[in-house]
Amino acid sequence: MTQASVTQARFQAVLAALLAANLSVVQAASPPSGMPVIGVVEAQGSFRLDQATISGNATLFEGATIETAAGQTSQELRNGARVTLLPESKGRFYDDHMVLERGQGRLERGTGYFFEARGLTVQPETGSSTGRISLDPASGVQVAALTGSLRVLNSQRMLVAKVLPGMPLAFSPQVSGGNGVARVTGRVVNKGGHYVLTDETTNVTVEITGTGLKKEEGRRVEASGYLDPTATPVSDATQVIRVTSITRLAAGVAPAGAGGAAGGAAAGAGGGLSALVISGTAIAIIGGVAAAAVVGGLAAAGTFNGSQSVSR
Amino acid sequence: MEARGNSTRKPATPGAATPDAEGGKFPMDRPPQIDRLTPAGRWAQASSWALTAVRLGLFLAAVCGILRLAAAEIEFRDDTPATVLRAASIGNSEYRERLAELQPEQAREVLRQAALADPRAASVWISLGLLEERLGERRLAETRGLKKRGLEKPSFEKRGLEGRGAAEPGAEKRGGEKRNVEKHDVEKYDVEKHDVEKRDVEQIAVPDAVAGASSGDFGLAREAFETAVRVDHQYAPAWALANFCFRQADPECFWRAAVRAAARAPALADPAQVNLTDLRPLLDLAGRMEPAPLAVLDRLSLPERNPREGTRADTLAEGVTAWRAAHMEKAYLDDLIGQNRWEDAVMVARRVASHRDAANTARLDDFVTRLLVAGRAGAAIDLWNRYAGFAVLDPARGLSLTNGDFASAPREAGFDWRLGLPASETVSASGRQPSGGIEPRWTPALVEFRFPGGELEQTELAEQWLPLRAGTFRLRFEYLTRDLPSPTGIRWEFAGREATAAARAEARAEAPPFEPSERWREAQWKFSAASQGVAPLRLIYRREPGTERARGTLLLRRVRLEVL
Repeated sequence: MTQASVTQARFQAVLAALLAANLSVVQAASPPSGMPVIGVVEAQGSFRLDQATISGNATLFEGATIETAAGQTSQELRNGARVTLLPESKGRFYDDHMVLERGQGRLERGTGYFFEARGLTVQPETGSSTGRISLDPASGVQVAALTGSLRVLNSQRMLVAKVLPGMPLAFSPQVSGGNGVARVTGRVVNKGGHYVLTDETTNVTVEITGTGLKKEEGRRVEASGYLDPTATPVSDATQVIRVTSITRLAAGVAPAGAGGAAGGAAAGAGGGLSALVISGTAIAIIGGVAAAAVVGGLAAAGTFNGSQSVSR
Repeated sequence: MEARGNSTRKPATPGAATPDAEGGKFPMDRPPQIDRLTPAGRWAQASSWALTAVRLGLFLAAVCGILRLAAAEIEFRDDTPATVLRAASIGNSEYRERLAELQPEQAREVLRQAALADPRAASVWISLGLLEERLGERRLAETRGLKKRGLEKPSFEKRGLEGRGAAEPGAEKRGGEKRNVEKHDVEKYDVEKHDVEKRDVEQIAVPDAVAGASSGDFGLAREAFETAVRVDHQYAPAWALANFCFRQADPECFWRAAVRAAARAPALADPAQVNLTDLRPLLDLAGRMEPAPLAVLDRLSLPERNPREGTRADTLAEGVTAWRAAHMEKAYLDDLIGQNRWEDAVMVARRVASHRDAANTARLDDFVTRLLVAGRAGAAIDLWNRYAGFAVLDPARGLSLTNGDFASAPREAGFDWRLGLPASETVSASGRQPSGGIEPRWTPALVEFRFPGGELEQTELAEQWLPLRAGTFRLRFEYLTRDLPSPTGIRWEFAGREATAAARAEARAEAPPFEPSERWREAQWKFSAASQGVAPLRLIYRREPGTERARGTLLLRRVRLEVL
């Protein structure tokens, strides 16, 4: 071992000791015991923190409610996540998640951090993902991934969609789970004797079971049926759907139930999404949540109604 | 241009035209001769031109400046990094703050430049402080990571599995993206680790370079916050510093800043528009730092009321008046009630009550009512006796009734009469119609109830919460009725406060209905309290079977309670 390497090793040892000592000093300088400080909220103007008007910045405690008016607030959380609450929004903040009660929120650097909105959980797939979640009284929850991808889970923590950049989705949780009704669209793939399908709208892979699937192998179909919560899906799939109706689709052609037609199913089961434009776009129902692509980002508007119900 | 004064005329020559000596006019047949300027005159003329040029230049400069500001404002409103950068080039600190937000990677440098350009811009210092603190937090997190990993490079395989989503099916498929993340994170790690090590060494080498150097960026943050407080004596910098000191668990720093903030709270800036709600964040923060509520108020209130603070605090708290302190107490009382911190709220309420200020009565009445509904009778009696202004309540001595002679208007709260909604509904704001449509009216020494004939079939007319010991009591009262048929349906009721519905039903006592009496009539009713406590005595109306709803008037006076 050379003299230089010995010196370097000693330096590293000293540095480690110093870092440890420094850490203990910093750890000792934590807020008073039992004080659940989770971060700092900042704004250029004023905002409301637990119903009190505050200008500039404030310490963010566990369970604090923040409400914005004309301006926006930025919440820098101690776990590294950054949450922006856009104008006319309201959210309740916790150490590991934020409950969006009104308006829009944006999540950055959110490893381990997630949003909750109307029973749905939205979390980044990776720490580098950035996304925006919007609540609309008429259309439900809208999720847009700005970078990376976001995962949307239902109240039973079941994956209902992966939202990719440039492909915002709108969600409407169904009343009492929509009786397990499911509707997916995609190409049927045989995987070790099991048939799986990745839904084109939600990017969720499901296993489908039922009769007559063999002849649909490799084809693009729209499958309707019921979720089987007792069955264990094959690897890569998140749930098993027992198919009651299957419709063969031409490549690049929207399913018959797209837009207004399928909207009826979604609206009937989910009771929402009425303000979205989904014309020519499939509407999926997975895990008791109706999901549809949003045209023109989060600013989409239009109809989601129809009379056709899911065939069984 | 006409030449001014200091010119000299040529010597008059024969035949030359000269102004008329008296009238100062030239002869009409010759034109006036303009004199040549002397050096002094030429100097004056040049000065005049120069002054005009300077004025013109200043005007043009001002116009250019205005145009530049307008252009910058237009650029700023576009709110993109490029446009805000151009706007910030004029040196406006607000623009630079926004630029720092839009370009987080350059935020530190941008804010430092802004601070240098305008050292009196407190908002820039605050932003800088927040940024340094944020960097400190990240560095701290990184340091924790280093310690946890024994100064090893982090295992991103493991890190990837730590996230919630990783447990979800399909997480293992993100290999490509994960590899990118790993590469990026490793590079970032190398840079940051080097940065951490470098900073630590620097801190050790120059421990006095910044205050609190042991906490690295936090020391720089503190300096920035304190600079903001120095350059701006308003509320915002003090509030920001107080928050920072709280987060750093530095009580001395916190209280210094909090006292300063309390003295400058905008919620109390205008006596005509006091907003106690907006004081709550500061009080809440102080309450988290100091659990004892009175100590919080002592620290934040007048220096002369708390000489232990010393001269330093006295100076900082200059401007905090007794008026402000009193409002602070009220705001804190509201805050504690909102947090259901009953014992602490009682302590603050006692202090509020000690001021004997009529303006506090409604707030204290409300609090006593809340205590009663919450079953905290002892605290309610103690507080009531301190401020209410009625005869002292002492159930042990049989002093249980308040305002029985109706000498003062019922307060509709606390232990006084309620001539409308019962206490529970007063607190819960049920929106129910008071007295079921019956109109109670107080006049000195009596109350009057008018029954319109359309009232509810059963409703409370009056209620008072009685603090009683266990025993038997006699209620004596005088009443008079007009146009009320027999039976009137009006009676007293004593409802127990027992825990179970069955026990309450057993403890419930009800008097026979009042007999109609067109003249004042004295009546009495005996009832028993099974246990010591506070329970409501009610005057109720219940339509008797076979009768129509009452239409008439009841007058009530001289209600007394005796222990038997």
